[in-house]
Amino acid sequence: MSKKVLLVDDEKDFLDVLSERMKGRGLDVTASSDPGQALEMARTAPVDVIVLDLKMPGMDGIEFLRTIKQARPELQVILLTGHASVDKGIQAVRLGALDVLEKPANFGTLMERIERASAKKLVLLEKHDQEKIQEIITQRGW
Amino acid sequence: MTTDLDWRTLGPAGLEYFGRMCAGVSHELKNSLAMINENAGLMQDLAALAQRGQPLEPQRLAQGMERIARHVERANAVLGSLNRFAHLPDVPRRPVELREEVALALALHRRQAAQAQVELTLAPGGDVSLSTRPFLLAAALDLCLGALLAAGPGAVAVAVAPSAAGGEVVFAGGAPQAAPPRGPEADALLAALGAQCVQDGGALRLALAHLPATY
Repeated sequence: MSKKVLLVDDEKDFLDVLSERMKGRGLDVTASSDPGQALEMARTAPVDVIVLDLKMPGMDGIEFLRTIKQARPELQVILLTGHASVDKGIQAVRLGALDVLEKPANFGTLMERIERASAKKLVLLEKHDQEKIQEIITQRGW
Repeated sequence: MTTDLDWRTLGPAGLEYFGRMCAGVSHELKNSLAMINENAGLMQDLAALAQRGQPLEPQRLAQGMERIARHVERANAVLGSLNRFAHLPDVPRRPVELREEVALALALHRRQAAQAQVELTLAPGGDVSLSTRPFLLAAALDLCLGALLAAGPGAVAVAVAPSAAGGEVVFAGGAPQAAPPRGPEADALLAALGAQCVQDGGALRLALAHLPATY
């Protein structure tokens, strides 16, 4: 099954080209230049990895990250930003971002991070499932 | 000939202002480089597909080239603005075309304005010559724009007009609660320019006086 990636960036041209390249490599890509709409998609749609810009009109990438990590902690977020401030990067990682990449990023590196993020999400979901099963076994005394 | 008078007038806020403008420009350049990088990568992808026998679509190549050209042009304009900004302190006091200085300030604030969802446009009009301190003028325009961006989203039309004392810049529209910049640093800056910034009928009006050539 192909990995589901949500791209969020206010530069529409950038979204178009990056989407096309990722789709060419077999990823299932959805893109949005509207952070509010993207947040709703991330909450409700099947998504494995979000590639997120840090600076967007209407909503800061950090705010986006905080909100989605509270709602869906298993979702993996990679920040891809031209705003190269170290403190923002540290803040993002503390909030649960898997990685922070600077624009212009090497496409191969980005693909490798998406692969890693998708694998991490799978591990987290398996762990969550195992905990649930263990909880049921314990409760019912099986 | 450079003097430290402008920097002394601005105080620590001057460095913060200079840094903020440079950070905005570097962000814009990185975005353009990212666009160029991805479009070049897309063309490599298309070439690789063509080598494997997939027909090459000239339209997709042309589209990628057009995007690259557009972002080279955009990055060049941003660098042009940075260059003009960097040279503002070179001559501390000289005649300027006020409209050009306002256009430069708007270009340097383009990214910040987009983040704040404020649409800035320069209203049509003629040039206004003004003898002033260009770097301090840019800092005063930054103060006014900062007040407008902080007030919230909206569309702001910026007009330049001559006045009996020199010239004025009127920022009309935008969020109604935009307040003129106040505080010791803003007051010192405006005083050094012989300027006043007031709210006038829902607009911010920056009134600027000609400064004598010698001081």
